[in-house]
Formats: sequence, structure tokens, C-alpha cells
Amino acid sequence: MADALANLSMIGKLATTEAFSAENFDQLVSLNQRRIYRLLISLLRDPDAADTLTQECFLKAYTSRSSFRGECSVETWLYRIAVNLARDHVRNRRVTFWKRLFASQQSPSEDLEDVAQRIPDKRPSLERNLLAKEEVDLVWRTAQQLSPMQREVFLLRFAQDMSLEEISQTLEVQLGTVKAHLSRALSTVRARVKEHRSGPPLK
Amino acid sequence: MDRHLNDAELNEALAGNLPPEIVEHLNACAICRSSRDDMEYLFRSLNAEADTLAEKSDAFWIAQRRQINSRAPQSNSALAPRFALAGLAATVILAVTLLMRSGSGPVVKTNTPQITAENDQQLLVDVEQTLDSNLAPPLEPAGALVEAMTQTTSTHSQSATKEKLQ
Repeated sequence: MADALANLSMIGKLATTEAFSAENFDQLVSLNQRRIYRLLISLLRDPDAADTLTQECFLKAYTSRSSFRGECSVETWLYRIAVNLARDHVRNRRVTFWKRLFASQQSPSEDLEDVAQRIPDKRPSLERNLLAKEEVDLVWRTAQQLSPMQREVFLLRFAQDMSLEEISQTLEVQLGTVKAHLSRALSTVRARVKEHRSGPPLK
Repeated sequence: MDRHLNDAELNEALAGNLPPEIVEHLNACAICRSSRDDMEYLFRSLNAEADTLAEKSDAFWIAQRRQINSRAPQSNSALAPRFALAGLAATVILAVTLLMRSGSGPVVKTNTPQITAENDQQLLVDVEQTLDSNLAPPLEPAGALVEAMTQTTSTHSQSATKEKLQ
């Protein structure tokens, strides 16, 4: 067991050619699949999409392994691929949503179903009270309305608990850019939370 | 700092950018610390929720891994060196077989005519005899041509000898 764990931790440090060899690929997947899935579910909050995109992430990494130049760890490289896949997924989902919305002029029920599917997962949690749950959902919904870069920076920081440097590496942007986007994202999200806490405006 | 942190400064604190004056103020001011901690706790709830959402059974991870492996063209990379070696071996065997077959195949014997003619006429006769004896059937028309040429040449040489004698 100790040998297996040592082997797994070693794969993360291997050069890509070795990491993606037939012998090590399965272990590479085994070592990173939970992290990639967690990242994707943090960004998308959609278990099916997260599962599909986790698979896509490893397949894409495998097929484009020759483009990896080793300037970052394999793990960071996988994160980058996952973030890009999530970005494409959100973009496609939005396009699909608007297409369906325009196409559903004749069938408004379909429109409502579509909207219902976009409402975040609200499974009950014993750990949190209703108010906290509401606020977390509010934060999530607000995050979904941010620009792609602000949303990614915000969720990587708080849902993935990444440091600013790690976010900078994953998104391949300057540290200053990460700080600027995070600051703007925080400003928007905090304003929405404050607004929610102060209650609906009196008429 | 003789005032509470404004929104921008609280954002900086939440983002993890903590200039010394903000750190100092947060240590001293319970109100600002509470504002920061409250919001940070809320945002960190996203982390806890991601943990909950990402919590899956072992069967899920095994099935996912199996799915990835079944879709990854990794079998090619595993077998590629073996296929390359097999191809090389097959090429060598084919080359050796071809060489051996060409070595043991029918050898075309060429009889080098022993020409010892002392003059042109004798030389032509020798050539004709050699062609008659060794000529392959498809080349028989060429043999007839050579015969005709020989006759013409001998006729010419005879008439030339007569003229010289006269």
C-alpha cells in the first residue's frame, strides 16, 4: 500500500512522456480524477457535466500530451485543460439556452423546463441551516453572472481554495490580473449579499 | 488607521492581499474583523459544498476510470513498440527470403563464344554459328536478320576481292 501511494505521488512529478505511458496513465487518472471532478463541479455545479468533462479532460491531455512543455506540473496542466473545458461548456450551454429560448416561442412549457434545469442544485444539507444555504446559493448564482474570468478566479479562490499564484498559473494570466478580477468579483458578490441581508426594498 | 475598512479594503483582505496597515487594523478592530470573517465564512461555504458535491462512491471513480481507459487510445502506445519490432522482423524475413529465392533460381548461362577468326569473313561465320546454337526462340527473327546481313557482307567482300584481282 505504501509503495502504491509512493508511486502515485511520483507520477505527478514525472515528465509527461512517462506520465502518459500506458503503464502510468491509469495511475495518473486515479491520482487526479477526484481533483479534476471537484474543480469542474465547483465551476459548473452540474454532476453529469463534471463527470463527462473529467473524462474529456484526461482524454484531451492524453491526445495533446506532446504540447506539454513541462513549464508547470502535470496537475496544473490538467487544471488548465479542465478550466478551458468548463469555459467552453458554459459558453455552449448559454448559446443552447438562448437558441432554445428563441425557438420556444410556440411552446413556453419547454422554456420553463429549461430555466428550471439551470437553477442550481438545492439538495438539502443537514450541516447548514436554511439561511446559510440560501446565501450560498445566492453567492453561487451571483458568481454565475460574473464575467468568465471573474467567475473562474472567484471560484478557484474560494471553492477550490487555490492560492493567487496557483490561479495565475492555472489561468495563465499575470498575478496582478488575478487580483484585479478577484477584487471586482468580490465587490459584486459582497454587494449582492449585503443587498440580500438588508431584505427586499420597501415600496 | 482611525476608521473602519471600506469595501475596497475589505475586498483586499478577502482576496488575501493584506498590506501591513490592513493587518494591523484587523487585529485591532473587532467590527472589521467580524465583517471579513463573516464574508469569508460564507465564501468558504462554497468549498464545503464542492466537497459535498464531489463526494462519490468508489464505484463511481472506478467506472469513470474504466470509461476513460476505454476511450483513451493508450493501447496504441503500449503496443506501438511491439508492432514496430514485428514490422521490422517481417521486413527482414521477407528480404532474406527474396535473396535466397533469387540465389537458388534458374541461372541463365551465357556461352561466351570462342572466336578465333583471322579475318572478317571467318569472324562473321563464327558469329552466325554462335547465334544459331544459342539463340532463344523469341530472338529467331534477329537470327534471320543476322543471316541476311552475313550473306550480304560475304557477297560484297567476294566482289571486292574480284575487283582487286582484276
